[in-house]
Amino acid sequence: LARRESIAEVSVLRREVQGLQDLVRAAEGGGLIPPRSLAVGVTEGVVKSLLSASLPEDFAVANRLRVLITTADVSFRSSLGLITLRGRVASLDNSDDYADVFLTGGVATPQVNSMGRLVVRVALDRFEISRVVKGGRESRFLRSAVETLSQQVLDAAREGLAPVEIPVRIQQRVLVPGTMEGSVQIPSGQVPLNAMITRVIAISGRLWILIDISVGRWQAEAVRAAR
Amino acid sequence: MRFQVPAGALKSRTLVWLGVTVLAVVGVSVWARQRLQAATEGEIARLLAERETLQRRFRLAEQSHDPLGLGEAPPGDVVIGLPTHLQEELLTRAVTDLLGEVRIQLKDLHIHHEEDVRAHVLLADRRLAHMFVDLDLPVLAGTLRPGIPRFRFGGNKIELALQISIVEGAGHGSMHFRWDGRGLSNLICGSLDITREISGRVTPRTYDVKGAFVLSEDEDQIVAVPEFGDFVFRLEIEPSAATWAMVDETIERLISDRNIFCGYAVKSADVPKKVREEVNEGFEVRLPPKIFRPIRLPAAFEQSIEIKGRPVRLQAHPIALGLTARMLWFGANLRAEQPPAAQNLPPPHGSD
Repeated sequence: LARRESIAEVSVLRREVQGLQDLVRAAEGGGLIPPRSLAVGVTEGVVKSLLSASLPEDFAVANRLRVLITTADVSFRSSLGLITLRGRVASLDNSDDYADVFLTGGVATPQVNSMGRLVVRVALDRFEISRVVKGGRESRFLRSAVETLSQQVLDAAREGLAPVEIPVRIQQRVLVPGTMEGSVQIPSGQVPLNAMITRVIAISGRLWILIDISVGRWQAEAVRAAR
Repeated sequence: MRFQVPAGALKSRTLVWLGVTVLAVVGVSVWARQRLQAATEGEIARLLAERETLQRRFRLAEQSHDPLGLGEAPPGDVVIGLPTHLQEELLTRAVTDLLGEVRIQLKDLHIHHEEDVRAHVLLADRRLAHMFVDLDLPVLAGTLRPGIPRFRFGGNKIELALQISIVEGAGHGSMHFRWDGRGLSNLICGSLDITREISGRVTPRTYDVKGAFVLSEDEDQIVAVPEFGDFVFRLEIEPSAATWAMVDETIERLISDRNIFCGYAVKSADVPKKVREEVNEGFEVRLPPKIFRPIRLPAAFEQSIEIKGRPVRLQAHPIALGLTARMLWFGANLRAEQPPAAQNLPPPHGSD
């Protein structure tokens, strides 16, 4: 069991090191933060609140286990960010047999959805068991059984957790109201924008989402409200 | 001689060998596992050390490379930063592209001139007539053409200076010429009252415009509100060749229809020159500041989000708005108005 945990830790550390190497390379090469980016910064507290608001969340794994995620912790102190979810994995047949677990990971690259909202998903890559109880006593056998399903639990949690909407809207156009009154006639129009997320980075307690915005040419359109 | 090994002894020896073999296998296995575990722990230690080194290098590099000034971001649960490059590009598009589409329709442009016409006639300086010239342009249509804007960022405003031309301006109207003979000259020239159609186009000129966009919060968004005064300028009209021909012809007719003294008097007054001088004065035109439109910047705080498919209203309380040389910062604290369920209430901002 210890060996399995160690191998999992090595795997997680390798991913972290790989991610950090990319970030350090970008930072030392002066390309970490694209200078033309629109920046959205969100505190740990907000992401934790929004993530917690969707909890508790539960889902079944392999028709044998029920995974219940109850709490979330968020840290944006390291460059990659750390999200820790705590919960319980219980037998579908007998809820007295359970394992208290925590799942850790970071933030997957956010998306701008069709409404222009920033949507963040949790990228979980580590599964740890803090306690396993069977019939009221610690059970090594059950621990091993839950361990074998760790990847399925992670996958189920990744899929099952609702994405977090960051309360920021990135508009896909800037509308400019026109006027047809008096001596000046100005048609309504819009400046189209194209938003592309270029980097996500955790610095000093904030998650920064850097978005490259390319500005198109002004387009006239039918008169309509400004918003 | 044959040795006979007792069956019991053979069984014991087999068991011993079996035991030794099992012990050896277990021993090798444990040894191998310990070696593997040690190797794994060594790898973990190496990766932890490398992670530590990389994090240290990252902190150093990140501090020295912060082109957006993220380290200067204001407080707030959520902050939005718009780089000055982006603001400049947006405003340039929104101002210059838009101004290029602005059509102006100047209505009821009017020039009025009147004066006594005096000339040396019959050995004396005499007042020959009182002359009126009225130019009326009911409609003059034109298009604006903006130059390249220059921006200056600071405080809570973006100052803008640019040049604007009025191009493709043209109009039709009338010229009313009235000649009221006075005294002796009335006997010589009499009076004249004629109205003629005229046309002309705007003389291309470039005008300087200065003003600012003041950045202000409008609920959840930053709006660049134009702060420009009336755009006042003198619009010069270049009458068409036909219009000048008509003026000259009218004066000629005035002269030829009358007598030689009248011709002399009118020529002395140099009426065509006076008309030209009046036209060259141009029209004072006042364009309202609405040729610059308010512009909503492209990122806003959302007043409502969905949590597990349920809408949750948020209150964004703007707490910071500031323009630095690199960024426009907009920060807000957020609070949920209605929780999706009692136990799922996002705690107030800042709580962990």
